[in-house]
Amino acid sequence: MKSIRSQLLLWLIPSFIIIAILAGATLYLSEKRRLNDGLDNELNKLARAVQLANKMPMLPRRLGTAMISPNNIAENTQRLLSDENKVFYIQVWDEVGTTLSKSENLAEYQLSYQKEQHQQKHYNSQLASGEDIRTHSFTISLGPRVGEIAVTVAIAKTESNQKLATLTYQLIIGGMLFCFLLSIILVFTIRRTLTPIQYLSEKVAEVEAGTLHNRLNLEGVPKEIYPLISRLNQLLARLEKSFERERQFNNDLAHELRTPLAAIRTTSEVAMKWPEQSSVDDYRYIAESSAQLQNTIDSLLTLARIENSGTEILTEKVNVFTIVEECIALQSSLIKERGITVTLSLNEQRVITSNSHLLRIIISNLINNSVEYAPENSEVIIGSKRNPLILTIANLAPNLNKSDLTTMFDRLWRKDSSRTGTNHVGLGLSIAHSAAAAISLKLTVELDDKQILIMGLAYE
Amino acid sequence: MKLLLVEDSEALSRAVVKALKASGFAVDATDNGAEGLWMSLENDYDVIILDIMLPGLDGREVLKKLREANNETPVLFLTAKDSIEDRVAGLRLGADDYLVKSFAIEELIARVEALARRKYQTRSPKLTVGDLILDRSAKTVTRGMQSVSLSSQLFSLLEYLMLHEGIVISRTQIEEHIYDEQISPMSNVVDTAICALRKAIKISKSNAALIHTRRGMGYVISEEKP
Repeated sequence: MKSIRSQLLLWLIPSFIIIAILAGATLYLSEKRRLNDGLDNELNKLARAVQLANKMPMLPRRLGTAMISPNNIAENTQRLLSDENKVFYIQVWDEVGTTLSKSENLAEYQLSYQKEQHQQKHYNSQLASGEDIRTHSFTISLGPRVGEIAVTVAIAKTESNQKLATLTYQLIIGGMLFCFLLSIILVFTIRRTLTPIQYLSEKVAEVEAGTLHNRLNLEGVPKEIYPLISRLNQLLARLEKSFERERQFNNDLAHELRTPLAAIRTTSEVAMKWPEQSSVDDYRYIAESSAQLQNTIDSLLTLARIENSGTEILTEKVNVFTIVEECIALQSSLIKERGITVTLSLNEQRVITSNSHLLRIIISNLINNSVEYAPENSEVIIGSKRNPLILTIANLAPNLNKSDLTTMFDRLWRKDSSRTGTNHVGLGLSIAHSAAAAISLKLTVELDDKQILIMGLAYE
Repeated sequence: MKLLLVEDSEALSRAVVKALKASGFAVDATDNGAEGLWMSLENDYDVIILDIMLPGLDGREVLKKLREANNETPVLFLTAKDSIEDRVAGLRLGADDYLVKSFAIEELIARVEALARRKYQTRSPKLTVGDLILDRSAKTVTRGMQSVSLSSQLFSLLEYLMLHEGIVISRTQIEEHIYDEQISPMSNVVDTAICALRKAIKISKSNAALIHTRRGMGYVISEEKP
């Protein structure tokens, strides 16, 4: 796994080394150019001096003409080469390239003869002895009788070469030191910069099911990772909510299963241990508790089957009105017992393509829910308010509030948090919701200002 | 021993009450948390058996309010919530024991007895006054070497008196601890029971009387006449 730190170091250190090398090379070339310019200056001065020293005098004709011999040029310029610190060389050629004169310090060595003097005025060269020199070639016109002569002056580069070598050494040492210090600074800076990420990873590692209520601290967090931590906190909030729902479901299920089971077990044990105290009521309580258990298990199994039905659902033409009438008939005793008035205003010819079994489960649960929880002697209205809605069921729900609407389709949800009573487990709406999803329908719920709960079945 | 059971499942509550009464406890029962709290504060129960998910007031709230009112009656949570977090939370709230549904009735009774013993600071299940020995665990009474047969109510009455050896116990205290709320305050059930108990533990003429009457005050059990 690649770390951000190693990635940054892998890219930054070589980049800085390349930059340092380029900077060093530029500095070296610049210094070399400066030194060469210095030498060229010296050579130019020397060339000018040579030209002046050997300039043909313009004497009056009556005094006769004093001709300068090219052979004496070196001697004429000898006095110019009095600088002890610099080693100058000079050599003169006639037009055909025959050496006319050369400085004594050249001894047996020769400067290179340039046929085209005007093409390259300053250039580097080397004596046969191996000494590096900087040379300058030019021509001097000695009048129509003698013609032009070629002159090359040179200066030793020993001193400038030494300076360049020293500079190269300094640049290499300085560059290495620079890269080393830069690497340390980079490592330190990256470590400091990545501290919030380290903190984040430690905090995320501490997250467990029991600590989901904790949130990651956003104080002092760099703005680059602020959105990341903010999203993580949102994720934690969603996880906490899911865990809470799961925990609530487990608690509710435990209550729904364990309480009737405990009643059956205790009643049986008491009847066995103290048979003289047992009565017919014991059997009634055992039967009721068993029925409650069976109801819970059947509902859970129905829910599981619906949720796992997948693609096995067959559809057909179904008359909604007929199914609603069947479901009302099934609830007739409860409707009568609670004095509920059911008002049915549905189109009798409304036919939809759906699964009749699941549609019956949905409508049956919705009607049962309304009849069971509407206040006694109130009205349940079954109709279809708008076209996309297949049907709506409305009833008065004085105990509900808006927050209940978000959780009422949760498995085992009951308004009564103590879950007292045995008739309902809290799976009816959950089953209806899952069944609707299985046949591409959806359940909607709203609570108006008059506390009328309106459950709607609509196309997705 | 007088217990309070707060449980909203009618079937379970009925069976538990029956078992506890058969074991010699006086039991009051309610299916509502708020009513349970009121009864706990109004009466001196030896043990309270409390469900958590209750209408009116949640069992944990009942316990919290009890402890805030400095009521130290031992409380046993009897609940379907079985997670470690729930158990820890219940015990940290001040519960003395925690039993998950479903349970063996024998275990519930044993736990209730243990809590009652803890209330009276007795570790041994055996109570002794003179040559009278009451075994709270085996539910037996012996005098000398002879076994004494007692009904569950008389056993509870004797147990209550022996737990307060040498201390005068009033009729009201006996009514509150031995009989449930159904008993009429004007009845002479306590006097009748004391009389029956005296007869039951006097196996032979040589047996000394252990239960003494303090006129206008109540009854006291001791080896020597006060």
